[in-house]
This record gives sequence, structure tokens and C-alpha cells, in this order.
Amino acid sequence: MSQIKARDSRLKRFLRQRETGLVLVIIALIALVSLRNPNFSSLSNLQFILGDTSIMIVLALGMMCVLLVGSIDISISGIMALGAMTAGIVMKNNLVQPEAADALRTSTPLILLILISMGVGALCGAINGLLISYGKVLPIVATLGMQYIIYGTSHVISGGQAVYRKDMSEAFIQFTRGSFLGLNSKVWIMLAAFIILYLFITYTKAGRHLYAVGSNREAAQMSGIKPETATLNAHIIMGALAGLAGMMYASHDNKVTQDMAMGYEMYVIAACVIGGVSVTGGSGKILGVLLGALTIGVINNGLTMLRLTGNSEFWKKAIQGAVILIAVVTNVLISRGHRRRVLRERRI
Amino acid sequence: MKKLISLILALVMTLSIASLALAEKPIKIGVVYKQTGNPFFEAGVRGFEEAQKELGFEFIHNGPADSSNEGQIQIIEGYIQQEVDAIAISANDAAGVVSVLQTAMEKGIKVISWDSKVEAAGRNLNIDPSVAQNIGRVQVEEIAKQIGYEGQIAILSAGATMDNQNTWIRYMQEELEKPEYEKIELVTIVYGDDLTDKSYQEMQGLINSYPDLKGVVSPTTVGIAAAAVAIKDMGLSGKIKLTGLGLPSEMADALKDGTCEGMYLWNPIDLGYVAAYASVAMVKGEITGAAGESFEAGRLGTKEIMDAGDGGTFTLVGDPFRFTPENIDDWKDVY
Repeated sequence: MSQIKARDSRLKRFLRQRETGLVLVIIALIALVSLRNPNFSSLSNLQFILGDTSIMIVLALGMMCVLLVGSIDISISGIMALGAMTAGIVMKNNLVQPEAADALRTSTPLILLILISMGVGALCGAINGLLISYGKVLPIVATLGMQYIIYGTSHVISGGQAVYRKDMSEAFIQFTRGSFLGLNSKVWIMLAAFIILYLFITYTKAGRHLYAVGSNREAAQMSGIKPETATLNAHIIMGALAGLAGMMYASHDNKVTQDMAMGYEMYVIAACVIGGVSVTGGSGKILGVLLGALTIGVINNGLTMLRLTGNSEFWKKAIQGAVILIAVVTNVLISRGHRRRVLRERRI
Repeated sequence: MKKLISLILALVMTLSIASLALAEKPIKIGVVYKQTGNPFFEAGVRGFEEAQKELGFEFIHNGPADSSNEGQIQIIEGYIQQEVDAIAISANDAAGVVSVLQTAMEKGIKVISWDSKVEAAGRNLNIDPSVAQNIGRVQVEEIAKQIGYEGQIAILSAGATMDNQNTWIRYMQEELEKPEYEKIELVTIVYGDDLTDKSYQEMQGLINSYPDLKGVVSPTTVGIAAAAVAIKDMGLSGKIKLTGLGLPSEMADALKDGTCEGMYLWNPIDLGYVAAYASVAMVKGEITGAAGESFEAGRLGTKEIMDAGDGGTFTLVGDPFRFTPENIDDWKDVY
């Protein structure tokens, strides 16, 4: 008897989870767009959305770490561009191009290129982290300034020339085009990042410190945690992931431009907020972030698939903003109800 | 010793400033293009560089990252403050930059639009790559031939406010009225804003929304390159035909593997080259930009200025050229 009761409450708890609310929002969105365009919910399109959103999820995982310690990073699109541009230039300069076939182009090994991009990203993240933790600069100001510096650097090192498909090795072009068990390689990269980050923030001391510092800085300090180290760590992780995401973005587009991905940071922050990460730090779940990013991915692709043309083209951005707001509000209402229920249950 | 060095340095500086003041101030042109990181405009800048070697002017160039009108206005305001002698612009929004360019013209700055025109009130002269009607017509002829004069087609354009694309699309629609194209249906026009990522998504959206789609025309170099990648990624090379205006260097792969059987473009280097010659001629007072005048454009010979029919004037650079799998190797390293 008690066993049945326990299982029952577990099911109830699942249904009342904040994440469940997000899943419902995503399903509702898919259903709505499918009414107008049935192809939207086709397996191939859903797979496309998952692949396309993977880049955003990778970034949102890093952004979650940064938000958890009560910081923010709006320089990530710049880091993506600089990381990919640095790796792109290395690739361009080491290109072995047999005149016979473009598909046989080889260059620096792919893994090395990715490490270069992630290294550049981690370095930028470290500078952000140092400015914020030890320099006591307001996070939004520090990373805004850094964004300009980083984009500027990307312009300088590029010498005004973008990196095009003809400058890329075949391995790099195929980096985001392979598939395994029906899923695109971007999805597998994202899943790997997801699992590593999940293990990190759930089971390691440094990971738990992110929550501790963000929810109560003084208390964390009293118990021997260094808030500066936690902030620095979070920004380095963010930077490295931005470097990885930059490579995925560049491979997907077959192009690295100096201004690549400009404005992308806002989608990533929105994904975290929709996913329930507090912008004041201390709370947020990794699964929520994944679902938050998927919500944005479904909205973006859904708007394309709504077949708006002509003047309604100009409405797209407004619709996009409105849907994001509705998703956030719905989610907040659901979680408020959830919290109230938890309190009520506690009284009994 | 230190004093001596500082004295010498001070002397050198004074002299260099004096020599600068004595030398004739070179003509300075501010070039504005639609966006940075677009190889079409990188090639356009090479045209300016080529003309620079022959004429000896100075020029600065810049464009917004997001192909926005506001970004271009900021750049133009910066050029006005730097007191350039001429502004050569490819406009993201033909009407959007008119007032800021009028301010520039009031300060004596000559305004030339190239590639994508500014409305007549905001320019002294427009440099058209080719007759817009021809550009529209050849693309329709090409896609019709590729799909066998029957089936659904779509257009993947750049920004919904961009004048050159909109004009070509209007001529494409006119061309499609002709009886030989009566079995071709233009189902939609979508806009990728000349952003690779967005163009890719729009192309993917077209394929998924219109299962019977036979062909796509993309009259923009960013759009056609992104569309080629999307078609290839979805394994539809040869099944969905693709044409439009593409850069040989970016489209070489797609032409060779059958994703695109033929496409058009003019030479962006020549476009920048003529825009540079026109700017210099206008700053020197050799032309005012009125219909009937003409100017020398170096290796491209004499260019006539004609009435554009929109209250302003224009001059032509050349005709669109057809790139095919056979001739692409001759061009892919040129631009």
C-alpha cells in the first residue's frame, strides 16, 4: 500500500516539475505551427531543429555556469568569432590543396583546430573572469567592453578577409555533417558537453561551489569557498564552450566572418531564463537549460515554417519576441504554482 | 645627450608636419558596403585598390556586420566627421540613408551609389552593374531551362528592403508572365537578410514547406552559397535546381558537384573600379553627375551617364556573365 502511494507521489512530482511545463510549451508550439504547415512536425524537420539548436545548447550550458555565480557574459558571440577565426586562419595557412578534387583538401588535424578555438575561448573567458572577480568590474560592463575588444581583435587578425569554404579542410566541413544512429554530429557533441557539465555541477566540489557562491556569497565565503575562484572557473568554462560552439557554427555555415554570430548571446541568455536559471544567481537546472534552448529553437524554425512572406516578413522579429515573452511568463506561472504546492505539502 | 635626442625628434616632427601641410591634400573617398565579411564586397574593395594605384587617392571602407540600415547611417556620419570628399555606397535600404546622405551633400561631399542604389534625392550618380531587366530575365531563363519549363519555384532573396534585389525580383515576375513560363509557379519569396545562417534556415524551410519545389532562384551571393550548402546537406543536389547570382570562388564546389548547373554574376572588381573613377572625376569637378556627361574609367574605357528614370542618373559597368561547371575553374581564383 505504501509502495503504491510512493509511486503515485513520484508521478505527481514529475508532473509538477518546472521542466514538465516547458515540455508542454514546446509540444504546444509544435502543434500550433503544424496546423499551418504539417511538415513542421516531420521527423526530418524535428531532427534538423535538434541539430540546429545544439550550438545554442552548448553555449547555454556555459551561460548557466556564469549565471549561477551571479555573473553574466555578453561577449560570447565575439569569443565564437575570434576562436573560429584563429582556428580558421591556422587551417587556411596549413591547407594542402590537391588541384584535382576539392573534397580531398586536408589541413591541420580537426581536433587540434578545435582545441585552438577552445583555448582562445578559455583565454578570453579567463580575462572576463579576472576583470569581474578580482577587478570588481560589473559583469555586464566588463563583458560588453570585452565583446568590442574581441570582435576588434578578430577583425585585426583576419586582415579583412573572411575564411571561406575554399580555405577549409574537408574534415572541418564534415565536422557538423556526420551522423550516428540517425542523429547529427552536432547533437552528439552537445550531448557529450551536457553529460560532462551535468557531472561537473552535480558531483564535483568546484561545481557545487557555483551554486553556493551564487545563492549566498557571504555564507559561501564563511565556509571557506573562494567566490573569486568560482567566478573565474565559470567564465573559463563559458569561454571554452563558446570556442567549441564557434567551430560548430563555422563548420555549419562553411564560413568564418569577422562579425560571425553577432547578437547570438541574447538567444542564449533567453534560453537560460526560459529554462528557469535565475539571473541573480544560485538557482537553475541543467535540464531546464536544454529545454529552454529547444523552445527558442522551435520558435525560430517555426517562424520560418509559418511561410510568412512579403510585409509579414517584418513581423517575424516582433512575433519572435512575443512568443519568447509568453514562454517565460507561462513558465514563471507554472513554477509559482509548483512552489506554492510544495509549501502546502510541507504543512501537512 | 637626452636633450639632443629630444631636440632632433622635435625638429623631425615639425618638419614632417610642415611637409604634410605643404603637400596637396589627396582626395579621400569613404566606401560603404552592405556588410563586412562578404566576399562580393571584398572583391569590390579590390577594384577601389586597383583604381587607387592608377589615380592615387585615399580611401577608407566599412560596412555594418548585420547588413542593417542603422549601421550604414552610423558609418556615413563617421565619414562626414572625417571630412571625406566622396562617399561611395551600396545601400541596404534605398530610402533609409537618403537624409544622412543629403546632409553629406550639403557639406560638399559627392555621393555615388554602386551595386545597390540610393534613391535619387540622396545621390549624385548611381553605378549599376548591368541593366536590371537583363539581370532579372537571365535568371528566369536559367531556372526555367533547368527545371524543364514546368513546376514550382521559389526566390531566396537578401533583405526585404534592398533595392537591387527587389528590382530584379520585379523584373523576374514580369518575365514569368510570358506564355513560355505559364507552367511555372512562383510559390513564395523568402528573405535570408544576407546572413548565411538565416539564409540556410530559410532554404531548409522552403524544402520542408514545399515538397514539390523544383527550383530556387537566389539573386544574392550570400543566399545562393547558403542555399547550395542546405541543398547538399539534405541530399537533394540535382533534385532541387539552383541558380541566381553567385561568386565563383564561393560556388566552385556547388557547380562541380551538380548542386548548381549555372549561375550569373558581373565582375565586382570592375564595379568598385568604376565607382572609384566616378568618385574621383566628380570630386575633381570633371563631371557633376548629369545625364549626357561621360568620364574615363581607366582600363574599362569611357562611361556614359544616362537618365535612370527615377529622377536621378546612372552609368553601366557591363553584362552578367554565365558561370558553368566547364568554365568555373578559370574564375574561382579571380573573385
